[in-house]
Parts: sequence; C-alpha cells; structure tokens
Amino acid sequence: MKGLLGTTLEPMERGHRVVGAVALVLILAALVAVFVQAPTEKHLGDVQRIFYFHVACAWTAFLSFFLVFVGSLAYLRTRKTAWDVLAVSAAEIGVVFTSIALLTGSVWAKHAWGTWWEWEPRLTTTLLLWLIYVAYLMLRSAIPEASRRATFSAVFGIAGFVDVPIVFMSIRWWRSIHPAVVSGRGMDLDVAMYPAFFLSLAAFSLVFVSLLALRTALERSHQQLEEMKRQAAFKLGGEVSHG
Amino acid sequence: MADVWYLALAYGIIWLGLFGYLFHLSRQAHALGQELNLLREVLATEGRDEPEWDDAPEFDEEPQALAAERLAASQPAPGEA
Repeated sequence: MKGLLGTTLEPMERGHRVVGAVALVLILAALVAVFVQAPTEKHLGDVQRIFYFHVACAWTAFLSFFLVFVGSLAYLRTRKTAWDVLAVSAAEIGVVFTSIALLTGSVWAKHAWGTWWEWEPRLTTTLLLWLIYVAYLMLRSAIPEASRRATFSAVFGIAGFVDVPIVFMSIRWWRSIHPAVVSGRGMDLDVAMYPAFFLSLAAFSLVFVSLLALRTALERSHQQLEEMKRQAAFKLGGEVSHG
Repeated sequence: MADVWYLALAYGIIWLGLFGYLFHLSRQAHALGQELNLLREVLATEGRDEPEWDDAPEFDEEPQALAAERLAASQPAPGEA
C-alpha cells in the first residue's frame, strides 16, 4: 500500500488526508480574507498584511512547544515511546514555524521600524526560544541510545517550555516596541480584521495537525526500522556464531 | 511599490518554509524506504528468513523478488563450476 508521501512506509490514514485537504481549503480562504477582505492599514499600507500569517505562525510555534512539553511530561511518567515521538515531531515543526515567524517579522520590522532586527524583549526572547528548540534537536541527534535520548530530551523539553510564557508576556513585563495583539484590555484589533485573523489561525492550526501526523508517522517508521536493524543484526550474528 | 516587495518577500518566506519542510519530510520518507528495502535485500541475499517483527509496516514485495533474482543470477548453474 502506498503510504506516507508516496513511499511504501506507514500508510497515510484517510483522516490525515481529510485534515490536509481541509487545511488547504482554509489556507486558500485565509489568503482571500487577508488580501481581499481585510482593510488596508493607514500607515503601513499593504505590508501590514504580513501580520495575519506572521501571528498564525507564532501561534502554531507556541502550540508545537506546548505539545513538546506535554509529550515530555507524559514520557517521563509513562516511559512510552509514543510520547517521545510526539515531542520530537512537535519540536521540529515548532522550529520551522518559529523560523518563519522570526523571518516574516523581520521583513515587517524593516518596513515599520526601518531595521531588520531590534534587540527588544519580544524579538530577543523569541530568538532564545528558537535557539532552545534547535539545541533540543541537536541534543537528540547527539545521543545514540534511544531511552537515554528520550529521557534527556524530555527533561530539556520541559525546561525549555519556560520561555514560551516569557515570550508571550515580554511585551507587558518590559518596555517593548513590538505591537500587542492581546493586551490587558483584550483584543487590540479592528473588528474588520477578525475574519482574516481567525481564519489564518484556524488554517495554520490545521496545517500543524497535518504536518504533525506526517512527522509522527515518519518518526514511528524510523524507530521501527532501527528496531528491525537491531533484531536483524542480533539474529544474523547469532546464526554466524552458532554456525 | 516597496510595499509589494516586502509583502512578496514575507509570503515567499512562508511558502518556502512550508513547502521546504514538506520536501524535507518526503526525502526523509524516501530515504527510510530505501534503507528498509536494502535491509530486506541483505537479508534475502543472506538466504535466511526475515525475523518476525512486531507491528512491521507494509512494504512492496518487489525488492525482495528482485534480490532473489539477482542472487539466482549470480550463482553458477549446476555443472558449470
């Protein structure tokens, strides 16, 4: 049976395909809302339209790192590999979305602030968040033994999550020039921006679910292959020594 | 005009990031499939039964048959040696 991304590995379930298709439809709807329905901002003009997908990427990154946190906690409690698979898959996707959020934010900043980068609290803590999860992935690749790798990275995944609320609260705790979508008074957005904003959030959340399903299937297949290799080496080695 | 350039750059980054990651996943899946077929091939050429796996994923039978054919072709016919 043809499976994940056209390979013969783990079969891609029908549910994954449905989520992928709905995500695609929502992305198209969000694009229409962003470029057609959403109002043009007075000072920034069309560049402000970066905001919708930029925030959606940041939201998806937070969601990913929350799942790393949950997966890591659950792994340490149960020692079930499935939680470790969830954590590493979510971490990788989180790094991708944080990278996109940092880069698109930088493009927006160049137009709005006249500089590609500013060492202000929101940007600095987000860069730190990115570095933490890149380090998490590097740590995993540096430990060959599966259970040690899972345990160390689970501890790292829990500790690393501390930065997520710091990123979110940074613009309230410190003096920041970064715009705030959610402030103490609630949503700081014009009502006309709501459809594009919430459609973008929904679309990227579903893209995340879809990518997570693919990535976890791949990770499971990878771990099965490693196990098969070990069993094969053991069996062949045993036969050779007996022969 | 500068507006459009920044907008295009930002959305370009988004699509490049998403499709780049999808491409990376598909390459990983392909490499994994190849590695697994190689493992099967090695086991087949060793002339041993494959070990029984728990929850083994499904794979094409083709590489195994191909490996068996290659093995048969590489061995001398009876009386030839």
